[in-house]
Amino acid sequence: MRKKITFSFLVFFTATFSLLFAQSITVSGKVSDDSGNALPGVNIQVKGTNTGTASDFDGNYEISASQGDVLIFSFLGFKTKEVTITGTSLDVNLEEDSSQLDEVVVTALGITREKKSLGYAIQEVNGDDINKASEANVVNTLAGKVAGIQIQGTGNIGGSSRILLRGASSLTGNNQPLFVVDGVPIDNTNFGSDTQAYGSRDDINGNVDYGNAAQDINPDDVATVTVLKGANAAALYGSRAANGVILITTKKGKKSNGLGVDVNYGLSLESAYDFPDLQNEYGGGQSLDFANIGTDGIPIQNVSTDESWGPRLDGRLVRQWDGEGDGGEVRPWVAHPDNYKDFFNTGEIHKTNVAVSNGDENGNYRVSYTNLNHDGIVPNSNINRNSFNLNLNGKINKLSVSTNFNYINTKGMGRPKGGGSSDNLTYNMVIWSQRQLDIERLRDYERADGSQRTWRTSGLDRTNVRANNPFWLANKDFQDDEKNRFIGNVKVQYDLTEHINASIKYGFDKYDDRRRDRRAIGSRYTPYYISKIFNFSEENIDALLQYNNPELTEDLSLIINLGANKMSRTLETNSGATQGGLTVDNIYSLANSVDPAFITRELSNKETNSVYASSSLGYKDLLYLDLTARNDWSSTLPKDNWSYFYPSITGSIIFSKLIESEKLSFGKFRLGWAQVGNDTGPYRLSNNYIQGSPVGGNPIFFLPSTLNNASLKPEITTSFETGIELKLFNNRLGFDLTYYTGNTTDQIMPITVSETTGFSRKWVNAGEIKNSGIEVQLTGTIVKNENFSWDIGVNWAKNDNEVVELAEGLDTYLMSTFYTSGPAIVTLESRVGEPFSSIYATKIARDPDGNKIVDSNGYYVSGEHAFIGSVLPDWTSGITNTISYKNFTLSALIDIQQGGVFFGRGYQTAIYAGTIDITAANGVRENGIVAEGVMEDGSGGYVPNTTPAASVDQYFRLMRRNPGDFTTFDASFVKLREMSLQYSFPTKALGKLPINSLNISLVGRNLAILSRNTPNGYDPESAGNASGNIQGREYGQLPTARTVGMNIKLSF
Amino acid sequence: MKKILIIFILSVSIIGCTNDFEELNKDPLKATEVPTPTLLTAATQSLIGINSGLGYNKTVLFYSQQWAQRETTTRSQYGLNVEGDWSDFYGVLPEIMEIIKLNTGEDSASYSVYGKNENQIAVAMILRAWVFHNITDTWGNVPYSEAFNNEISSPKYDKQEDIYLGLLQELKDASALIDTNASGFTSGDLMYNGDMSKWKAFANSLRARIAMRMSEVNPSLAQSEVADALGSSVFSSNADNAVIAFQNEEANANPLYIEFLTQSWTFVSEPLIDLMNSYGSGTATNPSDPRTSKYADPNVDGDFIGFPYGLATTDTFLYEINERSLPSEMTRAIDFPSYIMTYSELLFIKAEAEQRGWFGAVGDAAMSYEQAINASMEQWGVDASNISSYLALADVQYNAANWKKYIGEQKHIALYFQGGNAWSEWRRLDFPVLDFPAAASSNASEIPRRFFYASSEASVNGTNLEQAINDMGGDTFSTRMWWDQ
Repeated sequence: MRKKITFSFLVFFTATFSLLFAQSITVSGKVSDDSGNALPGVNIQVKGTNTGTASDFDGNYEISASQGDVLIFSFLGFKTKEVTITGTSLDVNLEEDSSQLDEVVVTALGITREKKSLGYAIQEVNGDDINKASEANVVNTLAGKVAGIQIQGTGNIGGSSRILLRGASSLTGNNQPLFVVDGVPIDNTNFGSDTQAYGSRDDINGNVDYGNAAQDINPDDVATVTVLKGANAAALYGSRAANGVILITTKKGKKSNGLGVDVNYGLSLESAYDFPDLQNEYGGGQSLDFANIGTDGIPIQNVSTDESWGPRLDGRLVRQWDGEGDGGEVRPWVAHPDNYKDFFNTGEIHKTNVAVSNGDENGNYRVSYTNLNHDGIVPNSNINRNSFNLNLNGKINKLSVSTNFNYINTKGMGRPKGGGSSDNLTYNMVIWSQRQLDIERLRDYERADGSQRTWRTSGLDRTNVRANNPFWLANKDFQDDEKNRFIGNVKVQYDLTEHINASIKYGFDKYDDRRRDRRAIGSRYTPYYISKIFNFSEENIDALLQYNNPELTEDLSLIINLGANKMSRTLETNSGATQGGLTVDNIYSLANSVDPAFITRELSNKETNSVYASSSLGYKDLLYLDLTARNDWSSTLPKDNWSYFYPSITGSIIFSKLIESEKLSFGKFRLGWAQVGNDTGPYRLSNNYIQGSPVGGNPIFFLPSTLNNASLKPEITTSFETGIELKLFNNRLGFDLTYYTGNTTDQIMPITVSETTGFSRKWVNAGEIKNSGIEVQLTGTIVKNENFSWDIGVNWAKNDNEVVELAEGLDTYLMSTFYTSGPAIVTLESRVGEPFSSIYATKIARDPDGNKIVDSNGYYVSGEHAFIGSVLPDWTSGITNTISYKNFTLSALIDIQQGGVFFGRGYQTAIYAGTIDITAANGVRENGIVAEGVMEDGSGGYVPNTTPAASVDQYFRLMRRNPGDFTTFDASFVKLREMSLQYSFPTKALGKLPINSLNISLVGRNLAILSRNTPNGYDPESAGNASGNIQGREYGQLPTARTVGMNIKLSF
Repeated sequence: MKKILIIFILSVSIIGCTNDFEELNKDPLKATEVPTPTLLTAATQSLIGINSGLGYNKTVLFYSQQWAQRETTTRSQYGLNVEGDWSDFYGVLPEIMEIIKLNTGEDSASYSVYGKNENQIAVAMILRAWVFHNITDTWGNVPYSEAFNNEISSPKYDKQEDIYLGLLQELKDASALIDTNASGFTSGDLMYNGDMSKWKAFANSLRARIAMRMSEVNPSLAQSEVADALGSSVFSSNADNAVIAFQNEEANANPLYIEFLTQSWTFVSEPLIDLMNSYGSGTATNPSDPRTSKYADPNVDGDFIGFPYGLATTDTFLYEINERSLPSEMTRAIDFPSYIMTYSELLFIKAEAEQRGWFGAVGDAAMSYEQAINASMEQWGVDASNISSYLALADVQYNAANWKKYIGEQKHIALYFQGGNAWSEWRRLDFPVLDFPAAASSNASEIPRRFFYASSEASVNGTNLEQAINDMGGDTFSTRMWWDQ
């Protein structure tokens, strides 16, 4: 059963329609769903009569009718089926219907409501669609399935995924939606990986992508995901819901006609497929000739450089080092085109889920265990996750108790290190490398004495490592981590009257996340061990009084909720790092530090209290009006401003009730307005001293670089949305259009101030960001007959974003400087009048006619630091095609992004190092290059350039001076995101086997990039960086990988 | 049912409590009061981090051509943005300003346990003057009088001329504040360990340096200030040097030590080694200046050969690493100190003041010049016998007729590892003669006379920056200091 329905509702339903008349024969049978689960409460009616009944709790029914009569089976959430009576026994399978009108959805506060009554856009994704593929991160499974959701995943093993719903509204704060599991908010922080793509050479704290915390949710336990997109839908979850809410409902136990055991096993293979086009013409070195010739007359490989501007790979004998010791080895100087590709393994993902569930009218349970084991494409990388889920619901008279408890243990190891770090594998192999290197010779990365075998060394005994062997990095300099997380809630509800109930719910999310990183003795840079332990806790207590009367009068229905919430959140971070290296080899402990280890502890506490109310008034299933109001008290704001109120109002009219039309099955118009207030992080009101590491035993304290502000006030997002929903031609065609605007004012942000004030930033309330957009959903059934059906679903969304205002006197908010060298600069900025987070980069200077200007050496001259584009896309779209033939279902999801830009820092650096193909195309290194453009003629005019570049490699290196022309890219793409072929064994075929249902599917994810405007190996999504606001810089990411696998689902 | 309602209402009221909010929003792990010595150590550690670090320090070692760059020669070709230096310099001052604030505020008495309030203030004022002097000599007009004021978020740029007057006054005031009979900083003073008479000597010596820098634009004021400063208590031996050692621990190590652990990107320059060999009949194998082996390491053949200055990146690969001289192992040591001002420099100032007839007898200039070289040699640990044979060389003998060359060159050699100061003295005296590298970037048409302003200022303090650029007559490498006309 995919829709959640309360049992009392079923009884009510049954009673209303059960009218029995005497008929000639009694027909009986059983109603079940596709998977063979009994369906209780199905409405069964003899066509053309008032005769009807409902199935009982085990799905059995009896009805009096005549031979040849047609029975109509209808049930909420399923397609209505008509069957002609040909005997006295009739078993029926009902097919689930995702586009049904009377669809019920889980809304804020876990209240189940008919979708048609809502005055705001909401979209639900079925659990089956989520756990079909062996994708570990539940966030990634939403890509392409929800209109207006932008998901950017780093693609790293256990890596991050960033979600934006309807664009970004906060300049410096969190733009991620709130995750709520069974009514309890859970944490989705991405600790310490904001700099994941930016790590500098020795940034040992920030260059590992640990992923966002919501990925701990086990997709196998998810029944539905509801996306509440705007502030309208979210007003009841408070401040954190200003960016929308991802509402996850876990699976509950249900009455089973078998053992109630479900088994799901999936195996996927992961293979890297998008590699950069590297040149295979020239080897390592700085010039076309060998600078060093040995006394034996044999040229010697230049290992004093890690670039590939060297001699042509012509097969001559050269003394080379690919890990050899003193003296090297004489071998032909030839290309190894796959020396990057061959480093990677085929990854394997095994996922096993076993769930046992059962239930009756007094209670139900579901226990589930899932193991996910992922061996990544990088050698020695693995994620192993064990998830336990327990769901218990019980009812005694008027008292009902429900609990959900999750324990998730995740062990990770060898997560890739990103950015401009020497520990970044791609940086090591694609950029600072020599193209002739033979990766096979590097597999043996360690000498007998424990020292590193690598290709680039110096010193007479070749022990001074100048470049790490990538296999050494993967096997000796890897990180590992372990996280234990408990998420759960207990809810006690008492039905005071038929219409009123009171409930108290305690929800918690607690975890400890231990991260360790190491660099072994023998590595290029100082060895280290670091350890970080995050202890996170969030507790929520909710008290809720609900009044729900569907029949207040004959025409009116009314729901009222009154609630209160207390949220307490604590994060403690303990970290330690060795200093000055490790004393003893292979001991990874702070005690093994050469100098005293540096140890820090941080603590952050926050509480909010809230009271809220909501009401929903319905008139004749025709008009609906919803009101919400909330007041928050936040500990992070000063006393005068810590209380703030925000309301919302939405309404809808089902106008199809007023129009008689054959074609129009359903039509709704909706309108809504909402405000959400927002607080800030803790400790931003007054300044403290910051302790540094002691200097020669003398303690030190610094002043903070950010000036706090004792008079902060809450920021406010005001949003408006309107939409229309149509179902045409007997529901064959569905259309949903939403237009929205959102304005965030009084943003709490740390603006940049002149460093001459003594601070570099200052917290203020300032700024305004405006978002507006359109979301469209189209669903259509193109073909439908007994055995064959073809459905198409299209999501399309466009968001326009504008920075309307910043702080007084400030028209640019510099978010990050991505690159600066000489006259060139690449920045991520938010400027007034431009979209949020836009890339600005130096471009080639142009003459008045727009021609590129070349200097007297034949190199392009740098011009202005110009607007390149917003990192946010113009529009996104997802297209799903589902074709069913008998028991086969084939579906494909295409994910499209139009627009958005990123800066290819890794690509630029690979050009600099002479490894990318363009640096060797058409014999350019020998033939020289004449830059297309004009040169000053000496008298103020310009003439076409005919001067060859003074040095070819310098020409390419100097591309970095004009990144705006050479290394910023359009991030548009069309991807084949997901494809699956599923076969459900017919019940008959299973025969006497003790199996209720059996499904086998083949699933592929991230199968292909169908269209792109970037060079190979530079995935348009590669500029993703954790989940913070600093996006749009690629720096040596791992190759994009596809997963292909199979899945077997069994129910006993 | 009533019971349940009561429980419900009770639980709602528990939820609604905000009593502990203010306490909750205070970071329990951060100090709101700290001993002032911890601020002094923090400030001086940051200060030597710039003075001997990988940013400003390396850049000025290149601009003064004491060092040459290999592999990536952007900076020595005048190609690199120097964004970080501006924030580093201004970033040293908050802790110094805080010392003054705490020792003058309502609770100043509680801070006197760390040293007499006035002495603490004087130390902070002297360090502040040193920092601002470096800032103005690097950029020209800079925020000074309105900087570090919480009320002013866009400080105006003061003219260099006015900043100089301010700095001289500050140093005079600081010197006057010092009570040598009372306690200085009781701990955390890594430079003088609380010895206030040494701080006083540093204040006056620094004042002599600043005053002498005005020699070409305001000779009369320069004369009176130099004479006044030299007449006060000043450095009297290398024991008085303003110098702070790095620690024998990686977290607080000499930044160059860390860099040289893995990289050999910087060498002693050919121009410096050639200049040192221009005195006497020195050769690569037998350098005449005994400091050569203190400054540089011999190459693989045992010779001292500098690396050519200002080559294009690709050309640097034509020179083998082991055939050129790296900075000496001593200077690359983990705890090699950071020199802020030395006795030798003071003696060169004295020699110049005597030569100019501003202080003492003109005839004493030669003696002060020799004493200055002697102090430099002693500072670098040269044997007394080697010192005297060097001083005996005819070429080394002071030539009053050509005093700018002699003082300029010898001071330049003595200011090794004090690139900023060496660069300033070259700008003032135009000695030694340095060549403009052929491979220089198009940013510069001559050896830079200053740094570009930080581009961050354009977005956060644009109006004032524009005014400063107007007053300075541009924001280029060739824009001159007020004192370098």
